[in-house]
Amino acid sequence: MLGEHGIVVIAIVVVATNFVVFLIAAWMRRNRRPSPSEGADGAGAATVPTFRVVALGLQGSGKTLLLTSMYRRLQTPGDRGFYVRAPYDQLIELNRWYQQVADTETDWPEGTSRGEMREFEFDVMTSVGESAEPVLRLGYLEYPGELLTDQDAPGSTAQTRLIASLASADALIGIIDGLRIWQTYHGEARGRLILHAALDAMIHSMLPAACPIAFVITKWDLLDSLHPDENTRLHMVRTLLMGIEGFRDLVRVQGTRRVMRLIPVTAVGHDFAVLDHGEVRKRPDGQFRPSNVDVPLAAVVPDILRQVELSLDQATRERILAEAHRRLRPGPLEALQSLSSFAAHKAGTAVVSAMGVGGIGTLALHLFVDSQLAPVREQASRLTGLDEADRRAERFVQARRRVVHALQDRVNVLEATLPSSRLGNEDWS
Amino acid sequence: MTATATAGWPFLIARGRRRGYRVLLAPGWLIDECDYGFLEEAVSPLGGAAPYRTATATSARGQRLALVWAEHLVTTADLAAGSAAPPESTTPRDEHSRPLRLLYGFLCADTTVDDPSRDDLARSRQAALGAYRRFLADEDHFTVESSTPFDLVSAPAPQPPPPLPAVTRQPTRRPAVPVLLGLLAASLTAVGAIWFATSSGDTPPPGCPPPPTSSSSTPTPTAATTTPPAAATPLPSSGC
Repeated sequence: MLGEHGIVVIAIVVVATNFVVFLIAAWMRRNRRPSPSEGADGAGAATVPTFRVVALGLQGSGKTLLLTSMYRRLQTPGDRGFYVRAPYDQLIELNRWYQQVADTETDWPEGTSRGEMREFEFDVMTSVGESAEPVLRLGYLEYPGELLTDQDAPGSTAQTRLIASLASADALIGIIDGLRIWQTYHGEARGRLILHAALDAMIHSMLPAACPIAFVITKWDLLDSLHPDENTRLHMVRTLLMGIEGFRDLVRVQGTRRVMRLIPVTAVGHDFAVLDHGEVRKRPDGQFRPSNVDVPLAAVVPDILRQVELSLDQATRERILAEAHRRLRPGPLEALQSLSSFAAHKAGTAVVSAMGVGGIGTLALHLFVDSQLAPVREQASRLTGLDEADRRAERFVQARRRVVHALQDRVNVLEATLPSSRLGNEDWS
Repeated sequence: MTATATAGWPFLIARGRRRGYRVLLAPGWLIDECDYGFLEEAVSPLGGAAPYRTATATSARGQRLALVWAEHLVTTADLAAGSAAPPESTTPRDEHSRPLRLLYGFLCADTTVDDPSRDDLARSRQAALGAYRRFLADEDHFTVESSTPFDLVSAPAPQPPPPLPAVTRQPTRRPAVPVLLGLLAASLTAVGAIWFATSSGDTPPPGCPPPPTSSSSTPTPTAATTTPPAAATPLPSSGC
């Protein structure tokens, strides 16, 4: 039978085996895959991308009214299939602004002070399975326009915060005051001076930007008298702007890498206000009917997708999509968690240089892959055979794809009705 | 110079017809220390919710000050006061057709004011309107003016103590000691079982005594004597 040495050997083997088991258990705990209940929420919460938008506009150019009317337009689904939702304290303020603007018997809002500078956050909600959930998040910075032109008071931090927001913005919207365009058209020196100052501020921030850029002409209703046809009107304004050297150079430099649009909006409608001796007054019988206020934000996400596509050469694009298809076979949850590292490795340099550093590069790749995979109706069959966590992740991906398509449709309608809205010389056929 | 506990220093934040919101009136000692910019960010419009607002703010240089402020929409009478020019026929507006709004009030050091007096706000508004008229006269070249302190009528309230710093605990990983102890116990049990199983085969069991042999003429003398089994003893009756 076994002697004393045999007993010792067996004891050592048993202890060593159990130690190895302990190490394996500790490593597995550290790399533990989320349980189905965690993964179901983790996939949704972890992959809701936030796009931070900064509108560059001088004081009085219409940033606050654009925000107010845009939210009013998008707070219900309509025929879009999605809607936006703001936190309750922000909703109260947005409603207060709307009531003040829409009431023909009250004055215009007094303007944004430095103490009111903050970011409004909107969840883009759509149906995911049985419930409505956020699939995208949009941030819109509200600030006083004088921060772009006037020096900060000693001890103030507002301008520093604005500059930081500009540097980290996922999209920039240049606000061009329609009133200044009208004044420039009619030879008013003050109007031309302010218009050039506004464009200078845009050029300074947009020229080095890597993110999508769009231009919005506010107070579009004040320019109704330029021409009865809207596209002709827009073409006239576009010609005026492209006649300004700095703006023309900005469009030429940025237009080679991204889609740039000139979007005319009226936050109050064409029958609400009138220009009377240099003063914009509300008509007593004015009808509050904003137009195109949803387009600037609708253009942000699809433009990010296009920018990602432009930044990738054909071979890299095909490799990413092939890998995405391969990774989606086990389930979308694992694919979502692992695709980003693969895509970043294959296309990281190109995407980072195109989109700028930060999480938006990875998130933009997710959206790009979403948009390129099989159409929604073919994905219904994919739900069978997946566990609950993967089914939920698949529904989330499909829901986000629907929202992106709806946003793109809105932009397509604008381009179809107003071809002059497209700036730059890139052909997107 | 620092403020006394019962003195109020008027301040004003407003926009002009062309220039945007800025500090137009502030205590001289804040101006001298280049420390008045915090007023622009600390003072925000009331939104129609209340006639005034109070707050405590800390300047960039760490001065903790109590603020009381209210809003005022500029009227033609405000601009006409002290002016030889005829008043405007319409509500004063900026070049974007928006009404002109003042955010005015007073600040004090080392105390707070929970219930400001109307007189104190009125005095602050008078000082603010004076500065504002001078600002409108030359917006491009106006520089922030130093305000004159006045004795507060409002009852000062003592400031609450600053909040204690939050104690944050580092999250600790759940220890793996129970797992380790369990494995150790299992190891000892396995070793003990193996030892017990292997040690029971070393010593053979004692042999069975030889079976008794059949009767013979000559009894075989043995050293060991055997004791015949005792006769069975009947059990006492239980008596039950």
